[in-house]
Amino acid sequence: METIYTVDTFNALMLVGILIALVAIRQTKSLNKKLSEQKIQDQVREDKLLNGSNRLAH
Amino acid sequence: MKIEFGMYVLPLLLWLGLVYTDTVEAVAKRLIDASQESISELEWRKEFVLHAAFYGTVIAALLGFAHDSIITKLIAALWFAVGLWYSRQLTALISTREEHEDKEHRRKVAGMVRSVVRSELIAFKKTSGKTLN
Repeated sequence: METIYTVDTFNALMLVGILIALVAIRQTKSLNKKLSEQKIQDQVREDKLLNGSNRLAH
Repeated sequence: MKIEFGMYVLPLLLWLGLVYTDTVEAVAKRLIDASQESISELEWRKEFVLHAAFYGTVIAALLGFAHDSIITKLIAALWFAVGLWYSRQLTALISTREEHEDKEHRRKVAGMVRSVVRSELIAFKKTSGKTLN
């Protein structure tokens, strides 16, 4: 009987771990998306700066 | 999973959630939130997740086979898949953060070079007395 409870406890702990990991995956994904969007905005800003300095040089 | 087991565990979890709400929230935030972590901390987290994915699966599979429990075998497979998926997400995040930091560093160096050139030009202008365009 005790071993069955051990297996059940282990299952419950693993399920809790899986749930935490799923929430963490979601959070990491949104963080990654936010950083990628920021990267694109930085790129656009750099391109504008580069165009402006090229125009000034000519 | 036995019903009696749920009868003990569910009230316990409910009690923990109600009494230690702040602590539970803080621990969950610390476990889940990776936005404030440095790259080395993220690397450590990735290593930890990968090790947990492999060792957890081995233990769960052994227990599942020893007790002939299909649920434990299924949980082992799910644990492995979720662990690998999470480590993949962490790798992507590390890569993006590294790119970001590299760009930030280059921008700082470029700013420093610009300021050095500007101060050199001003110094030259002062010493030679010529006007620069």
